Amino acid sequence: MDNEKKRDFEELQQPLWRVRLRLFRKSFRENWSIFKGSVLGPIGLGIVIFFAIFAIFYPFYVNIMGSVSGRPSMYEPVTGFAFDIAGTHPHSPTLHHPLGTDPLGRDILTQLMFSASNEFILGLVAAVGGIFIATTLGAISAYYGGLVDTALMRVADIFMVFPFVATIAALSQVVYEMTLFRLALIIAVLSGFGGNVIMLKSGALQVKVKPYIEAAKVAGGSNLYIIFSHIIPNVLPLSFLYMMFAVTGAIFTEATLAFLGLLDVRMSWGIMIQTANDAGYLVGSRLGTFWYLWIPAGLAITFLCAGFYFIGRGLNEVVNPKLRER
Amino acid sequence: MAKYIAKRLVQILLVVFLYASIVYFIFYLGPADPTARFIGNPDIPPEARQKLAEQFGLNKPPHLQWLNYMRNMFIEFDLGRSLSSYPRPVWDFIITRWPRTIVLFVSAILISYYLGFSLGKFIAWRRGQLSDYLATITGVSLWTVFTPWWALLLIWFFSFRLGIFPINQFLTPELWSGTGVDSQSIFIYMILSGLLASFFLFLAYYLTKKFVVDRVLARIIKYSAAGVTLIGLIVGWLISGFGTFVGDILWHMGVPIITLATIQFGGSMLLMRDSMLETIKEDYITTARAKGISDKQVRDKHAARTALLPLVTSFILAIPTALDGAMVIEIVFSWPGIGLTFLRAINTGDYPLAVGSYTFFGLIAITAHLVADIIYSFLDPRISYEEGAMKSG
Amino acid sequence: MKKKLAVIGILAVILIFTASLAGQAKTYKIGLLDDITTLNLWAGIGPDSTTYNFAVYNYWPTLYSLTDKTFQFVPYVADGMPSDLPPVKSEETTEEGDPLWESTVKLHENYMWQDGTELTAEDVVFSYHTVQEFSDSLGGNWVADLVPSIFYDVEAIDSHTVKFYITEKSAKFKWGILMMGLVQKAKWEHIVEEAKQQENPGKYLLNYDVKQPMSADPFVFGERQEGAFITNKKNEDWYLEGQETTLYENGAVLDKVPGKYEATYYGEPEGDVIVDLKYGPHVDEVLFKVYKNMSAAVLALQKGDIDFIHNPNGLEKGFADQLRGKEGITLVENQPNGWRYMTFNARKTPYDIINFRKAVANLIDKEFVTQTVLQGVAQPQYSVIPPANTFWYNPDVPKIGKGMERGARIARAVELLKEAGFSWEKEPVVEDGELTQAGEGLILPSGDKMEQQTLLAPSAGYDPMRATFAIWIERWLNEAGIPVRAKLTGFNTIVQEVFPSGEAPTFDMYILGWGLGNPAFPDFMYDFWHSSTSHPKGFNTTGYSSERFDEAAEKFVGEWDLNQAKEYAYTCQEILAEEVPYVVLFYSPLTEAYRSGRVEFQFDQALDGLQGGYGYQSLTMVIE
Repeated sequence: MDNEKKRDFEELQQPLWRVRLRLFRKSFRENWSIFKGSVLGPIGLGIVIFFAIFAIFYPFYVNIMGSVSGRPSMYEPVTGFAFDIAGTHPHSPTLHHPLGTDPLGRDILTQLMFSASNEFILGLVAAVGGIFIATTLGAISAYYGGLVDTALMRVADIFMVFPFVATIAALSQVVYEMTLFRLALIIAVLSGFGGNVIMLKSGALQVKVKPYIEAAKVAGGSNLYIIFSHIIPNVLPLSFLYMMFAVTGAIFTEATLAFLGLLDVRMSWGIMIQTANDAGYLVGSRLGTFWYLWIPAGLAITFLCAGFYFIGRGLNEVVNPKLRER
Repeated sequence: MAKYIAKRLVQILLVVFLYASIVYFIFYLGPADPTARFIGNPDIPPEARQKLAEQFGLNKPPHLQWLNYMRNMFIEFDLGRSLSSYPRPVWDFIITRWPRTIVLFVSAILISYYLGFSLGKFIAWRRGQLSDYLATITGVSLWTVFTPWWALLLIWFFSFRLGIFPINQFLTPELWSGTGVDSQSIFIYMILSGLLASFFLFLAYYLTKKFVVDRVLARIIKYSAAGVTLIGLIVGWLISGFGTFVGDILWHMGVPIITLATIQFGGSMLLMRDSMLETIKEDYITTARAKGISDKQVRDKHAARTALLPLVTSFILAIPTALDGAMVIEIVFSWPGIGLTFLRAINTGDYPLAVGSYTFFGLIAITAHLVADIIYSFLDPRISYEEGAMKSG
Repeated sequence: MKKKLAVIGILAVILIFTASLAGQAKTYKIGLLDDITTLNLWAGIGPDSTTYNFAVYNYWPTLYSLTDKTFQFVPYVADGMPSDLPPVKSEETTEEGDPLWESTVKLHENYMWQDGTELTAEDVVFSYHTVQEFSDSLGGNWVADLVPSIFYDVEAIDSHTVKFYITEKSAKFKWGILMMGLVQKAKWEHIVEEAKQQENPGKYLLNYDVKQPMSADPFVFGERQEGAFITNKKNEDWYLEGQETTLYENGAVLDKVPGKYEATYYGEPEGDVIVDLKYGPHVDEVLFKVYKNMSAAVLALQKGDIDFIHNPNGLEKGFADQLRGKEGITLVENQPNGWRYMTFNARKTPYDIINFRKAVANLIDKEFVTQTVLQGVAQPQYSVIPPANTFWYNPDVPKIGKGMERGARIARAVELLKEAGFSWEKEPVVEDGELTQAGEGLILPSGDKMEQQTLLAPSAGYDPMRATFAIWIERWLNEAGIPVRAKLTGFNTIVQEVFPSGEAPTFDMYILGWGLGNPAFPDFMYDFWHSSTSHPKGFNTTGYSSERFDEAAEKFVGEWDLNQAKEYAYTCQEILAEEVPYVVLFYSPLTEAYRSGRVEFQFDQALDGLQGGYGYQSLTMVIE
């Protein structure tokens, strides 16, 4: 019995961060098994990992194909040109161009891989930025209540009302050069102040009423400290969930705007489809002949969006216990 | 209740004002120059462009222009003049375009929600089975599919390959030419008859719920009410002589609606399923089951009804979201509604028109939110009409 | 009994329905990519003008017009050429005592408006006066035609004769003033009076709700369903109905309306005939269907819903390929009256140095981008006059860089730059025709390092061809050590930078395009490059100023004898190709498609394609 007491005592002596780490690992393992059980979650994760590898593989692909074909300049996404193909472009897949070429003679697989990393950056910047703002605002709103709460909710109301795509379309004319990065920032701000704040606030409210918050207050923690060290970390699972949906939204929005011709981006999946459409290859029976012009890009958009969405659904089961199997 | 609505209306007015101002400045700050279109013709001297700018009022200082615009909008409901179709009033454009957009999108949302609702109900009860996974994966894949791509595919398939639907546009000119019938009135007519029909149905359902106790009789009445409404609609249209025109428009709405419905049903289906799953776990369902009531009844009567609540609100809220996607759908289907007007306005730098259509979107969104709030409070008596409680998201 | 009636009723409805569809006597169906903006011609040709308005407005007569295909100046409502071309010095003077020039025009007798009244000198005088009074509001094309700076007055000498007074003996009299649209006084007089009472007369006039435009042209307005379609009907009372115009190789034109009149211009009607045009109109109705995107229009053409697509940009390669070889569809390729170009801000260093511009011109391989990358969808161009404008085009202009390999181009550029005093941090090295070391850090003759320059160009969404050119140019210039970044952005943004209101532009380089207005007399050469037209006063955005060119341009614009003017025009083109204030890049051939099984055109080769000529709808025949 003495040994037990000794062990407990030793445990209590351990630094806080160690304890936290152990608890974190434990809950992580629990959550992971729930996530695994959701079926959609792991599929989504798999898809996202696939695309990540796909994007990372880009420089390797360019180098390998460059040396195999002897003409590395063919594998540039924007100013490349497939000199080795005798026919007209767009051309169906060949040995050196596994997904064929686009109307301007550029290798499609190169474009696909190059854009993948851009899409990730776009999605993550937009999502992380947006949700970070929303989480902070939601926590502040929940914690302080009263006037602050009302004000923030009003702001959220206004932002929710803005038609999302239409606003960005309008801004695309205003902003001097609408690059992917600027687009990501705009999406982050628009979504960060909007409806997500309300969702995250209710999540924060649930945390706020937990006893350890009271305890922290009693122990003398400042408001900011409590918000950032206690409330927000506990809302994070919810944030993470919404982040997934935000990524989907961002990628989708970019593709839509590119299709409408409103972006000044040189290469992205949306631009690939827009190039094909404007050049007239997406009409009637051409859809079958020139499948490689729109199916790879369209599928990429769909799958990556679906991937993040599935992860979100999986996380939904982790965060929301009522949805799990009984 | 009335006080609450009044308070909200005042808030709405403020929001619209703020919103319109912000929007106005976004556009004003941009490089949009509606006189830019005249650059291309070397025969037109540059002074003409200057004169045009003056005429459009573009040379006045910004705050004066804003003040003028706001005053016109709120006091006279004058949204200014379109610059790309000068001097046609912006209001003109909005009046002629909004029915087309509304008819298309509301119909699409109704159908997609009905589909989602039924499927959601279906798979909630089959948790974990094959149909659950299939439906979920299909729903989600279509939810995230790239809209223009999917739309083009469906156009090709239905309009070209199968040839059962027309290619784009919203009417067949040969049919309308020479008849003197105006599409604007037909659209309004459709909206009115739609509203009338839904009102009638709602009344029938409500009265049945209140006064009819016998469940079987209730069901018969509900179905026959639906049937009567439908037949009444069709007969009404045929008698009026406008039947062919309404039919023509409906026929042209075919592929867009299929596109929208397939893309959107996933959202409501999953919402319904989740919502039902939550309520299924509620105690009173377990009690009902224990009492021996059939699964179907439990599903339809108990679970579905409570689960209906978030679905209804999400339906109303879906309208502004759908409108947002209007631009893409309208351009692919050559459906000249508000979305297309907006797109054209920003492309030509016609910012009165752009601000006008954009504000219109916003107004619909704000109204939708208000209606959703009211309905939510109406349907769920647990909510009171105070500020804080209404923010249950 | 009731049931039988119902069945008969339904059958009757179906029969009438199909009969009405089948009974479409000769209808010509044209697909438009956008709706017209208004039926009020003041607005529709003025501030609201779009290319689709022009396609549909076959209602407005003019005194003179241009022949189809050869674009020669011929009478239309007028009977015969003006009394004096160029105008002669008048005895009258302006109020201030400045000199005037005059010329007299006679009108046809019994030229009717749609409502049966005659088009007289009163209508002509009224039209010109109204445009003059409202010129500030009407803007746009009205002003381009009227040219208020030289138009002084017009008066009716008798019911069928008018006399014009202008303040300058300018060619714009012929190509602008005499070709302005005419409106009916009876219809518009009181409206104009009302307008003048208003606070904003121009707005009143432009906003006047026109239900039925008054026509004196081959077609009259039928009906309109906004956003969906517009119909024009044949004008049974068109004075010139059945007109035959024969165009001869020697430049002569023979106009004949059987039973009414016959006239010859520009020489003897003998020798080879280019084409014998028979105006009709040959169709009873023209139905314009509005599609909002090209894919839909192309599908409709394929399906037979329309016979022709009116799109001033023609068909993109993909669409053209789609339609090629399809049964019953014919494709036609023509040159547009316009081109795309890149230019410099010659107000800034180093763009004012000719050698720098020449070096850049050398580095741009137009053949590569147009033939290889764009696969012939665009064609390289070196002169500012489109090659299809055969009269004015100078085929011997110097073609900088043509045929040179990359290495040779870079070498030549280096040579030119060194000559002008440029140097590099790292000079580009060319060995055996290959670039072995890319250049870096160009240093100006003044010794300063060149800052990063911006090349403004349309984004891929707006024009993929120019965007492609921009990206390749960026690459080539950087290879040679010239620090450039291509900024792909929207049309409006570029225009704001290039044509800022009221001040001199500050851009570095940009890529845009021009549609060249009247092909019969390319006075744009003066407007674009004469030193006096430097923006913001005029169209000379580049700020180019060359005495040599100024002289040649002045001579060209002042010359009334066409053959002499042609010589001057040739000189202008040469100078421009040598000093390259503009690097003309390419033109994209206009590809059009029509249903050959249904309609027939009387010629299919012309500048600006089938849709470019004024008569294209009255010449088309519908065959069933």
